[in-house]
Amino acid sequence: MKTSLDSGEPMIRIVDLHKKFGDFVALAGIDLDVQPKQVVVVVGPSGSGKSTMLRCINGLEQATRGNIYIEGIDVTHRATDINKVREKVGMVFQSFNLFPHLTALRNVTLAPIKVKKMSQDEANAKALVLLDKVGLKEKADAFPAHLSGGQQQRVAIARALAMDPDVMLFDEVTSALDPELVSEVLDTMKELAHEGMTMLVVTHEMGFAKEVGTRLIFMDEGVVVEDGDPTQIFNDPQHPRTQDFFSKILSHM
Amino acid sequence: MSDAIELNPEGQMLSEFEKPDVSGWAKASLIMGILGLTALPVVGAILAIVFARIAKRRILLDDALAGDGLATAGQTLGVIGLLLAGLAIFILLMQQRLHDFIVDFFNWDTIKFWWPKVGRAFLTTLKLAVVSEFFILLVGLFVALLRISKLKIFRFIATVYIDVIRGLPLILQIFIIYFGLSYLGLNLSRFAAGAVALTVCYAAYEAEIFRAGIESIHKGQMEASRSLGMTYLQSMGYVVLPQAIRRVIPPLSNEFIMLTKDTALVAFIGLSEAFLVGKEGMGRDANVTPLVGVALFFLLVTIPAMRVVQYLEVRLSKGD
Repeated sequence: MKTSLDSGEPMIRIVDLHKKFGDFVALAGIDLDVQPKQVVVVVGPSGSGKSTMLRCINGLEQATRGNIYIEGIDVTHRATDINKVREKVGMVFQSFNLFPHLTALRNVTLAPIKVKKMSQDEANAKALVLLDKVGLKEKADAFPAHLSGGQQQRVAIARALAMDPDVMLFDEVTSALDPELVSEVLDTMKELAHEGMTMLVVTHEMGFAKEVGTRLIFMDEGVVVEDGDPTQIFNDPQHPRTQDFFSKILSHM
Repeated sequence: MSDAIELNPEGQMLSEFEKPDVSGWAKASLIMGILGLTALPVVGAILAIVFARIAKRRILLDDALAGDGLATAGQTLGVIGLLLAGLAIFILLMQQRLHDFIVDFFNWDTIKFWWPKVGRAFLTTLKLAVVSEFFILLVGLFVALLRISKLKIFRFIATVYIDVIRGLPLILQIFIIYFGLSYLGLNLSRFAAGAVALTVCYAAYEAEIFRAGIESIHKGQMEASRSLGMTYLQSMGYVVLPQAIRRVIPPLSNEFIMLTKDTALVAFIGLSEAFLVGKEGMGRDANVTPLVGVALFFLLVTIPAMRVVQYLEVRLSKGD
């Protein structure tokens, strides 16, 4: 699979993606290629389909129409083993979703042990390296209930990284955090971006978008309205809906 | 030094000398109370209460009178005396009936002969309850998983099973399953047939408890687990169920207590558990004592079990 990447194939290719919930149209035709090492920041008003798009990419939602290819493998195809694809696609959620009955360490080691059949010792060693990376090595034996929101979210990032994903999806990961805890999570993500991780980041953190994003996508009503360099779009949004959105949020900054 | 200062004012000195008199009625009440318990039953007790009332009213109106405590003591003795007298009269009047009651419900000879037998049979009761519960938990969990399956056919099967079982009296199911099994050519022992019947019935109830427990776990848990590449069953087994089971331990324990009691119904297909043996004893000796023994054995287990469940409820709710 790595070889296909070298030949210039996109990490993620989304073709004509549609998603309906009953009569509600969440996604109305998305076409998007994400190249390796890109950090794509996805912004847009709530209900614009950003989260739905992320959830379609790793199969948490089933596409109504269209195709999604991860490293050339069609996620929407019935014969595709979605579990294999998910090993390559890490996801971090707004509500952390740590496993409350397991310690931070066990949260990180569970999937490598059960899915990759890694030995306990190997998984532990790897988990400690990752927890150290997110600055929480000393919290390895703490249960989620005893961690702050920011710490929980950083454990959740370590948990996703433990599967050695090629792409990371971040779904409004700082929206549920107290303001003073946002930066510690963003710093972790920044570090990840600098290491060359391919990332799709749904966020309202415009500072992060400008500083870390290599590409910005503005979505509204289930379609990609604008797509380009973050700074350029901030300074000179082309589409009226983008202009409207930025004028509203920038007035708060 | 402070004593000297306090003694100086005239008012203080006076009150020292004018110690209030203890009401004579209060003293009389106490004496009558004592008499009411000894030499002069009923009359003494009534007088003690009457005197105490008079004493209390006087003490209330007159600041110079004391003895409220004495009056209360007399009153209390009077009430106790009256109750004892009443009890004595009751026993006297109902002597024959009480005697009959003890002979019928707590007959010493019957106790000696039948309670050990009942006790041994109660071990069968407990064994039936434990063996059944083991299979109930397995089947119940399995049915719960069918009930929440994505496949309509599984959900349908589970729903029909749960509805039918919950819509029938247990005793009816026990008979139908017992005779149904032998009709199918399965010649199970009475114990095994009883265990099957109880499992079929209780699994339906426990399936619903499991389902409620599983559904109470936020769906983000399943999503997070699935997004790590774990299969549905892995996610269930390692992430959702460990949390769900913790939550349903108290209701499941309650079900287990109910099951223990309901094993008595298996007597109707002839398994010699505690109730059947007790009933047999009742028939042989024309005496209720064996059944009282059965009742006591059940309480010996169920009451502590209920306390344990209560403790678990408090403990586990704190853990969340």
